[in-house]
Amino acid sequence: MTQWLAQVGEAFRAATLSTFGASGEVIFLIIVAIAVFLMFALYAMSAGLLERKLIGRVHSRIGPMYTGPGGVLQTVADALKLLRKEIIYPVGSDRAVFTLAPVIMFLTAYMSVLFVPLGSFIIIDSQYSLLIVLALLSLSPVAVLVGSWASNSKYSTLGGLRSAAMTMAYEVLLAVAIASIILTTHSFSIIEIVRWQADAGVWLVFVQPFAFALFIIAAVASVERNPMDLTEAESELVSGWKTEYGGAYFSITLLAEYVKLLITVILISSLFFGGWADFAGEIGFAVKVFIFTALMIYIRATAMRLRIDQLLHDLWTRLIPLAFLNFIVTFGVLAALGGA
Amino acid sequence: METPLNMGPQHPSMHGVLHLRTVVDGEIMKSVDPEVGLIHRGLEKLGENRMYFKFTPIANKIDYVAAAAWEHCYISAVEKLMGIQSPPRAQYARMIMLELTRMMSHLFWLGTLVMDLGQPTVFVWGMRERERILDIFEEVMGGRMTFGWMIIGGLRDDITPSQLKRIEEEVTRFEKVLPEYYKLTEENDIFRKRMIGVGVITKEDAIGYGLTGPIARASGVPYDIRKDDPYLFYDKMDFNMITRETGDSYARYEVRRDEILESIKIIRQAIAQIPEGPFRAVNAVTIKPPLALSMRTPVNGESFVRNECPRGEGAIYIISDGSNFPYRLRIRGPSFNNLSIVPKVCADQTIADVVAIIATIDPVFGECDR
Repeated sequence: MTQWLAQVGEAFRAATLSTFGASGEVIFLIIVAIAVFLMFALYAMSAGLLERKLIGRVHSRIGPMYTGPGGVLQTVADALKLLRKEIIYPVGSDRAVFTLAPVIMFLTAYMSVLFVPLGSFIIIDSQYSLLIVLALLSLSPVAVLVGSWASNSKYSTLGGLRSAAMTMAYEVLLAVAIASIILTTHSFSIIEIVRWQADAGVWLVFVQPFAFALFIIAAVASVERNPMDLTEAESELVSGWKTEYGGAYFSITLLAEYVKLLITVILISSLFFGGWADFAGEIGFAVKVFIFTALMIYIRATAMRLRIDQLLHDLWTRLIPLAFLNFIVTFGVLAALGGA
Repeated sequence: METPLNMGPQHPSMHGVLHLRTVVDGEIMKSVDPEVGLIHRGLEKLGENRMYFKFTPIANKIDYVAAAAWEHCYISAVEKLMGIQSPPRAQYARMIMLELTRMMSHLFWLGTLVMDLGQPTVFVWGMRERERILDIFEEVMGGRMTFGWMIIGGLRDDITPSQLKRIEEEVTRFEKVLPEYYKLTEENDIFRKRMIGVGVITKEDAIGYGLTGPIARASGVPYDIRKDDPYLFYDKMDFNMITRETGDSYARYEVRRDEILESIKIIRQAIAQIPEGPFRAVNAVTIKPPLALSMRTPVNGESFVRNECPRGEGAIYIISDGSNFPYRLRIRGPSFNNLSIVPKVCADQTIADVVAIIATIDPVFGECDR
């Protein structure tokens, strides 16, 4: 599969180079970028459809049924509808910044995709891929704050401020949970961590169960889904920071959100569940990604929203100390083992 | 920094057309001022310009979530005024429908509450169960939302044994599915966190602000018209008045949850006890010819009837001057009084809690604004 992808890429590159001469390299990169974009748009659409169907099942409904066979084109229709809509700028909003926010948000999500392994295929292979992905993920709340501020709406501002307050907490949690993994595997590279699990013959979820639990909580917070969707709490803040965004801008934020979901799910399955290196290879990886996407959707279907003070209290006084404790214990155990 | 923030009437969580003028300081709402009256339809005046029986469809629309309750409230007020006694079978049938209405209304409330807490699953489930109750309404009363089933002096159509059987089956089934709801509500940690100790209404406040219904009972005020001033055959039924002492959002949840079970008890007993016989009094006001009968007018006088509607004490006061139309028709809706506690109980709460507290108060604006 990977070899095949690489071969296709090489052949395509050779073809563009021979057709366009010197500018072939640039055209090749642009085409690859568009292909990657389309791939993620496809994931976002299918995840959106899966979400609507699964939540429909939980609600004892059947979900969308009329667009295409069994409703499979529903998200395509939604995307087309959103793209056709007029873009409305709120009165008194800062138009340039208002436009910039979803773009930043999408770009950070898109860039982090480049460093995330899709099976053993990775677009940019870096020794520090895990760190780079975390850094890029933590940029998107900045875009949220920028966009909410530029919207000139009180609901948006409140949503943006909530996002800022939450980011402080869950980024720490995410980083500390990851730190114990880095310590265990001695690596910052996602690929290396997967390889470590294959070599050790054990999934990291069994080595670091607490880190897994903490990571999944932080992950739900970072993709802003129930029970931590406070930034867009519909019943309180209309749509939170998204209130004023419509049409194409809204669809871009939605796309960025699903790309973030994909990255989180890929991180969970490769950091804790052996990635693609054990049984069934890439297909097993795809199955893992599917399972964790479904898990995220089920969490959304059954969890209620926490209040911001409760969430921050739990994060700062319960989970973050727990994460540090886990880190210290890991450190101690490793030191003892290394000393022996 | 304190800043004014308008919530509603076009806000996803506002029940109906409530408009809250609030002052927000960060996440805290410093003051909350509910604005009501956006769907004022002048129902009282409409009633004063109609023959008595013609107001029944409008009475259904006072509280569109629990329409039968108000239909009965109005009809019984007119019956009292005209001195018509509806036969026991009709009264039992009415009681069954009123309790089904209460179940349906509380279910709807539970769904919207959990939706306001950020999760639509219970809402859709509630709709699923409500749908089955609406099917019964359609079969028995001929309508899903508004009925016109009760007439002055009885019922438009009799309730049949097969319908009674179906109601009993549905109620039994309903009792079995209720634990499903508990899993997503009271057994859920987040739900408990969001409800316990939030929005406490003291007993003094509950009495002082004239709160009625489940809200008052959740604050420890033992006040239920079905017990205190029994109408229909509620005095013959064996059921408990549910009260809680704490007065927080969770107590209001518990009261309504248990009231659903009490309603089921009442329905069972009523189905067992319902007598044979006519379902319409001989002097009932029908709209069939001769029309003279439908234009029957009461003598000078007045009547006041209060019922335990799902949201609290609903009352109708009619004064007649002996003409075809009521001289004065006054509607007392519980939602309006219940909302009056909002500025007090919501002040200095977080935005999320204000939304949850208003959801537990369960206002319906058709009845509040009238």
